[in-house]
Amino acid sequence: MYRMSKFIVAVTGCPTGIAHTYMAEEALKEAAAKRDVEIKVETSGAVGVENELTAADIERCIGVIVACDKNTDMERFNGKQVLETSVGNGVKKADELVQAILDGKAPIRGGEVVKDSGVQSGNVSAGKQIYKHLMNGVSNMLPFVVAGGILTAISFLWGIYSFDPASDQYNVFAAMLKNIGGTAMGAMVPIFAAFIGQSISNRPGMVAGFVGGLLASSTGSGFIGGILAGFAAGYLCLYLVKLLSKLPKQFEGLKSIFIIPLVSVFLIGTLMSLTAGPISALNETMMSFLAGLQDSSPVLLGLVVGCMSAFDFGGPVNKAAYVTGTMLLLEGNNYFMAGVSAACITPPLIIAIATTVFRKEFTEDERAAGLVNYVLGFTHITEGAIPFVAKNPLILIPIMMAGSSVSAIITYVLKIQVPAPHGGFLILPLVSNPILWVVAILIGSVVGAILFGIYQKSYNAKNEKKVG
Amino acid sequence: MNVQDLFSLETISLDLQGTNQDEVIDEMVDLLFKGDIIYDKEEFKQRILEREALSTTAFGYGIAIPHGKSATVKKPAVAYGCCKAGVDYGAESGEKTHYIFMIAVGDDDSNLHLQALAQLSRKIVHKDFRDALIACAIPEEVLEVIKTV
Repeated sequence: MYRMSKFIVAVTGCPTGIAHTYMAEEALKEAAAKRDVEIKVETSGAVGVENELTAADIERCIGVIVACDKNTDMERFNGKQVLETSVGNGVKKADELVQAILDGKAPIRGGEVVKDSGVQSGNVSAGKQIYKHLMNGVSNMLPFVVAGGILTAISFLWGIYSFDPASDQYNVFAAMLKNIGGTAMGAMVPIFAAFIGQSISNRPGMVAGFVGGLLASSTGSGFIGGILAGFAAGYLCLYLVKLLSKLPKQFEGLKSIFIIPLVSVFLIGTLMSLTAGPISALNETMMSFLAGLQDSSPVLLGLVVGCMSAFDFGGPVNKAAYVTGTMLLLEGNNYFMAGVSAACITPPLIIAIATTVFRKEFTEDERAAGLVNYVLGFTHITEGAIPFVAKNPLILIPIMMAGSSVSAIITYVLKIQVPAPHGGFLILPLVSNPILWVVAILIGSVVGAILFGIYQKSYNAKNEKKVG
Repeated sequence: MNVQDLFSLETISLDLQGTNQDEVIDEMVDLLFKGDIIYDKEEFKQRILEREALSTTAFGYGIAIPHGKSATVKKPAVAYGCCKAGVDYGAESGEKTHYIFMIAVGDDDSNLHLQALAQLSRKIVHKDFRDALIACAIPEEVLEVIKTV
């Protein structure tokens, strides 16, 4: 790849890692900026290693500056021009260091060039790996759901049967919208499975995952089937690639475009076909159980949905509730989604309201971030709450759960319908009873905000005591 | 966590009297002690000297950033001292050191504090910031300058 500006990398670090690490970082960045050079600086400070250089960074750079008074892995820079110096020089002589690299004056570091060994970084825990794969599927799937869901919801403005030529609500444009929306929504499970597979074993996993996902979609295995297809495809292909790595080089091309796709698609396809019956039965039971719950005990359902939505703010548990909502929307159940949306909108609003009402308990930065959370809440972006909750998840997640549950419970009790899977308050015109829905969400948010405010107050008080 | 929260009027002195590195360090440690930042002066000074022994923290521009991490620190803080006459703080260039930031961090202080200190350190590299500091005549002004970080 051709790049206009030159790229260099640097490592800074000092034994205590409190001051000089970052001064050297800043000085080097400034020196590079002056010369219109792109730079990435890995800081090895007391907070740990930040901004870590990747194999790709090192590959791409024209030289390395190591201004570090503590040990850092030097092997990774083999074959590059490397300047090694103290962190003090990194601060004081940043200009000269950058210039020396640009002039090609630094010695090339000897030794065998270490190549990045592969896809998997060995020491990440299995749980984190699985989470990463799952989220890769979810984040690639979401845009399809959002675009498709909202287009479908808009078509309902012409009436719920506006797509049906037999109905007197029929409108050509609405029918087209619903068709586009439905197609995008239909891609949800295949894309989800494909990108789980892709996250595990790149293209081979993506192919088998995609086909498995299509089968899950068409046989009614749904989301659960998609998870199965994605992971099975990903790990199967990882295994196949390993198994076939002994084949002579001449078969390389044949292997990747013929053998692996053929075998993996056949095996995953068979797996999905055989499991379709039981999984779709499971799906139906779950959906009808949830749909039934919404009539028999809206309070319990609200509690479950509220807790799930506020459990991980956009993570898999939240998405499980969310995807169930969209599945039910596809089946024409608009009640369930109303509670999910309410529960997803609530956490950012809790933050926003708490930082407004309990101004004194928050710093200026937090209040500014709080204002942003109004917008994030109004547009159904639960993730806005994460930076706040991350400060003390054990206490704050239950607070968010409480607020979200209240919003969801009221929504279910009032039997409000929301036909769109996303959009927050932007889709209010589509909501069956917009005013009550907003009120429900605000009540939940205020409850949460009061709890949050009380917590923050006692937290501040306790900290002052410790200090004084 | 804001950088300014690490400073207080009690730990700023624009009139250090010391004539050598050791005396200046004593004065700065004293500021931290009076500002109720550390329990034990001797222990903290030891940490500061250990760090200096590794390599000087006087990095030029007349500024030094001695720092110590120790359980004797009650809460993370920064003392700021200005010594008009200047002392030899071991800067490689041989120039005298006039401005001293002494950083105190507890053994298990949170990343937020460390990040605030990192922020301050980055700022010191910039000339505008240093010039503004040098122009301060009273501790209150120093706090104002710190607020811009």
